[in-house]
Amino acid sequence: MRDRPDGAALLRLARAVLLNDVLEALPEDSRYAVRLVANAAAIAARELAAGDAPLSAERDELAALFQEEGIHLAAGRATETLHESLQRLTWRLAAEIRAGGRDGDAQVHALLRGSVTRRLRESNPRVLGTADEGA
Amino acid sequence: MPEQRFAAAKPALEAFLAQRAGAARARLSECRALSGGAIQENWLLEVDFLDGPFAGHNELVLRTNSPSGVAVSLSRAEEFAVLRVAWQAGVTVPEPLWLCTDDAVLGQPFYIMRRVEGVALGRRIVKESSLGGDRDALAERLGRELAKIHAVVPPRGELDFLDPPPADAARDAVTRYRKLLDMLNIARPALEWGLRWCEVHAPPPGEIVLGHQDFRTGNYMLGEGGLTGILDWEFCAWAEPMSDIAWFCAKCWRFGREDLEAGGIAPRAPFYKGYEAASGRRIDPHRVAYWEVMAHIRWAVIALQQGERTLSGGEASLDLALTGRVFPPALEYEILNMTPPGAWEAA
Repeated sequence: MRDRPDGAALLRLARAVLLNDVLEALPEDSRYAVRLVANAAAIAARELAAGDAPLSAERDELAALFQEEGIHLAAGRATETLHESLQRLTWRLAAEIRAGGRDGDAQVHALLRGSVTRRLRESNPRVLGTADEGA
Repeated sequence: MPEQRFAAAKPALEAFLAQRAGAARARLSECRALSGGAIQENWLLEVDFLDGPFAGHNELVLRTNSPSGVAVSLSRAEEFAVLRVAWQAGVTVPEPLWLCTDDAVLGQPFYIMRRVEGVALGRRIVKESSLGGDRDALAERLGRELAKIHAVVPPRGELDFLDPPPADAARDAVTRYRKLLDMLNIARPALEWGLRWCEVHAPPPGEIVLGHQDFRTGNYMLGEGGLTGILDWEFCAWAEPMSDIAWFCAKCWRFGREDLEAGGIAPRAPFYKGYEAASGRRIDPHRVAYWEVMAHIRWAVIALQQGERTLSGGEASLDLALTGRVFPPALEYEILNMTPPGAWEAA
């Protein structure tokens, strides 16, 4: 077990130092780079804090989508890592959509919205505003 | 970085400038980098010509490639040709002066244009609404400028390096972005959803004109008196006119002022009005709406390419890395909003 404060907390503190102390002391044309660093730290901190939970949720939704169509995860997939099954299922969905097998499919649209929303919570939460916070 | 390259290239550059300007001698007193795109570099040159038609002090801009450019854009020589056509068509652009394809001068091709002054930064233009005068008038002016670009129609011999005019611009775009996703080797089901919607809902092929294809806030320059130049011509292509209208108005290019649908600077009405008056063409809202979905897809694919450039060992750039991480899901979010299940029924 790691000691505290954890990596996410350290990144949040590092970001606060950049934005509260360092930014002020810099000339305007160097501030852009500091804002980029602060944003990168924020994304990494949110990613660390969330851990694998968003990925598991996505994998489960994808698996549910395909199982509902009567195609069960093959036996032998049990040894597949989370990353591997996400890769496989995501590619499969992308291919089905491209081939026209999911045109206007409400379940797929909802799944995609959920997936994009999870990504935005980590990388660009401002897009979601407050209305989507609980979604 | 330009300053170091400049020191080495200075004598050759001075000789080139003098020869092209018909002067006995050119003296370069300053060279510094101007804020450029992710793909090209712009250097400001302060040049004094001893005699000839350019005698005296000149502020010029040298445009050349940044260390790694995206392969889909035009070469500098091609961009120069496009700029000349735009200049001749009466579009407000920096006057293109001389092209250099001799690598002995700078190590890579470049061209020289006159400097135009002002602010191009999208976020600043949207925030400081007093910049460049009345905003409805600016939007109308931009509509007229775009109409002048669209007055150039194929075939044009001096633009024969452009891909041939597409027989079906919408379906061609779908194919192109799918290919780019395949090349990047990343699965993006939400982009696929948008692309499939665009495939199913593609409007019948329409008129083809010279499209700027990156005509948006951030790519024109405003001085105190208003518009001073339309910039960044490297994505120019034969295109459907409504695709440029849509790119300008798309929600992803409003820089936080989503209520001002024409590029974050004004409502659509004055922009449309200027365009319709100068082009004699009607804006087709249905086509514009279609190309706005495509605009989000296109920007997402470009952002993914830029992010990928930092991953494949090319260029360690935090800016590009964040572009590849921050924008694609935000664009996909909008794409999904524009193409809900109900929006498929009309097909």
